[in-house]
Amino acid sequence: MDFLVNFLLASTWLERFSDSFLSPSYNLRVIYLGVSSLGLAAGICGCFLLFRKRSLLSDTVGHSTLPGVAFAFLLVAQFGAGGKSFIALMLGALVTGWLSVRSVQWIQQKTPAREDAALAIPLSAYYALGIVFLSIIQSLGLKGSSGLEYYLYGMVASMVASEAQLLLVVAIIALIIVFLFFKELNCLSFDESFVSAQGLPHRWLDEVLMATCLAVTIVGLQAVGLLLMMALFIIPPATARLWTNSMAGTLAVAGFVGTFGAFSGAVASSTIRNLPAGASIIMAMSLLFIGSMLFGHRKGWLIKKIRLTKLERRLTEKQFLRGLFDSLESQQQVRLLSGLEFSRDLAHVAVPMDRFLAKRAWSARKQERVGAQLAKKGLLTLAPDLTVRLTDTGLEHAIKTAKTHRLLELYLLEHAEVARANVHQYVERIEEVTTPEIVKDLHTLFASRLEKELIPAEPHS
Amino acid sequence: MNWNTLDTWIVITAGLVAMACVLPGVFLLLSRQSMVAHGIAHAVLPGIVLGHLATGGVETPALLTGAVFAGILCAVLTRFLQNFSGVDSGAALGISFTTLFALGLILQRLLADHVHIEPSHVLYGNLETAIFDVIISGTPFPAAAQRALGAFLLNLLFVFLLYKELVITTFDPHHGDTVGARPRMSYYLLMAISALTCVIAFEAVGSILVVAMMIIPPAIASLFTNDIKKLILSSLLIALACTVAGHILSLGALGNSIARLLGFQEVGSTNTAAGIVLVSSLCFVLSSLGRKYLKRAPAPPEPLPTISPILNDK
Repeated sequence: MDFLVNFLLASTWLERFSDSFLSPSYNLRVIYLGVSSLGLAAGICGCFLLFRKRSLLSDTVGHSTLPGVAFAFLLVAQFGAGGKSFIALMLGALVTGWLSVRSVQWIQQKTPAREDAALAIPLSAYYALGIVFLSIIQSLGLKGSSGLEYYLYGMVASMVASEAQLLLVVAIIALIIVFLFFKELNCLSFDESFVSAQGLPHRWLDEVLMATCLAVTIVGLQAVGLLLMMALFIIPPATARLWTNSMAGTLAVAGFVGTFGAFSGAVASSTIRNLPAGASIIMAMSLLFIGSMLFGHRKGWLIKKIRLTKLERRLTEKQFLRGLFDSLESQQQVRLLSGLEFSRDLAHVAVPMDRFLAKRAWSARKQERVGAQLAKKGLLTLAPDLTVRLTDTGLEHAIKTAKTHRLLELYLLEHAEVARANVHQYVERIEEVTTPEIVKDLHTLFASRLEKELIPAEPHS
Repeated sequence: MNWNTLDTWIVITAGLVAMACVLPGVFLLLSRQSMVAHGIAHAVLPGIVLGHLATGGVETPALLTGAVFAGILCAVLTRFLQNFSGVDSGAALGISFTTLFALGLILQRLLADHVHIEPSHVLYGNLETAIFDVIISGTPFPAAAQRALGAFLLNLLFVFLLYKELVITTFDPHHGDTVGARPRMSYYLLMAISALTCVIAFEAVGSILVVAMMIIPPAIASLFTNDIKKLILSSLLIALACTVAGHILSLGALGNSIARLLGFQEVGSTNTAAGIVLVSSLCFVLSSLGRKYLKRAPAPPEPLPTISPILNDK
């Protein structure tokens, strides 16, 4: 019985999904077009806000549009033809939105208040002004004011074709602006003084960027509401940062996340009954963000884990080989003391692992694991009694590793004046980041010493 | 302008709310987390909905508990996102509070659709209706004022008990760690108190003006003093003064002058909370401008102790 119910439920869901996704009605197509283009525009503009640590500015601007809208409504009611004039309301929003950006800058420059307060104070001050205007509208009982209170909420579900078209146009304009000024905006995002030094119009560029963001915010606000607008500005760029470091890459990923998140959220809200579209789009983008936190290519959890494991493996292998080499060297102590060189032929003897790893405090399992790794690479053979024997390539590897290590130690001792007791630890830390070029330089630096002996003796023992 | 009992109660309630908000606000401002208050004001929604679902009613304790947990969750999430993904604190906050708010909306629509949470009520708040039980049932002390008083006393107790810890955490959390002041603990307690205050303040001032109630009075006071005790006391006084001035202005002067300017008939009173915020914002702007003239000459620096304080202790 339960199964049947579940099946029926699933089939209606499937049906609703195919209705909303594969063959959407005209209204749904309008919504998809609108939110997707808004997601694209906001995602890309948001990147520039994020780079300049101004993400929450979209919050302040969004709230600050309320008095503009309400005041414009009052003006239209008094002097205009009456009713809600779309363009007038938007102009009003634009004016107070722009004023709020200016106010934030003024507070930051002229008062000791810090950035957070500079954002919070205009946000609430303009909003309060908006509420005063709204109370006036309410007590005057003006016609057509009923929907005004919901302005900041927006109603995605009631989007009409003209709104979607407007969103598309604004998105295209924003894209063109970003494309045209890509290089300049790139500089502006990371090094403002460089922009001025290059003779580029710093103020003017800043103004263009802010105006673009403002336009996207205001057009988006009345369509999808304040909170969704903010999320569209903030979440896609933050997601993109988890994937890539490059500017163009960040813009591309943010644009994709914005578009795809908005689209899939809208599909979900039309599939599941009662799911509010705005909230569903925010959740879709948050899920993309969480997914990127796990699997992001640059900073994701998985990639960090993999990098760490790989690094640990490389380090332990090197330490293993170096320990083995030291042990072989001490076996040839008598030869070395009598002035002879380290003999490669005598180095292919079996050495018990726990002898040369005694100092490392590795567990028996770890010793065996690292030994097995190296055996798999063909650098040594691992006998069942836990002794290891280096192969030819293994010996060369061990010699190279030990040589680099000792050259670095010598360098730190003689040229960087590091205390004798510390060199070993220091080198263990920098060994992994030593490039082949540095190794080459070290060889040139200690050329005379290397002529005398194949491998310099352990300098700190 | 005609003042009656209702107005007195409005001023008392709003004053208590404003003073309750200022106490956590001082520490939020000083630790550069003003916007966190704004975020928490949104992020409490899922907690409120779940609290309602758990008890099936609208009793305040369940809602408050839910709200406090959601507020703390928002703070924890923000810190985690900041550390994990390396974005700045603003973006991290933006992500966590929009997500939590969206979650709250979805929970409400899917699970508790019958509870009608009027958006305009939560967004704008309404002092005038909040204390209406004075007229309807003739209670001597309106419930909203009682709650505001409770919040104020609780916050006062909180600041009084944890004063030292809060100061250390605000200015130097690492130092707090070394002296055992448990900076993380007091940080989360501060977040909990902020969330609680936000919810109490909702019915009076709305979710968006809460941040102004918390931040603007300390921001004004911090223009003139660096002493944290003076800062708290003067913020309380400023909050109270702005409340009285804001309500008087809202009784008619503000609305009427705007309406007359635009050529409408007189409109009478406007939203009190908005009036309070406008007055305090104006105070902030004026005192920033006038700071140059009002500021006294800086006190000469205190001589440095010649012996290290650590040795002194011994």
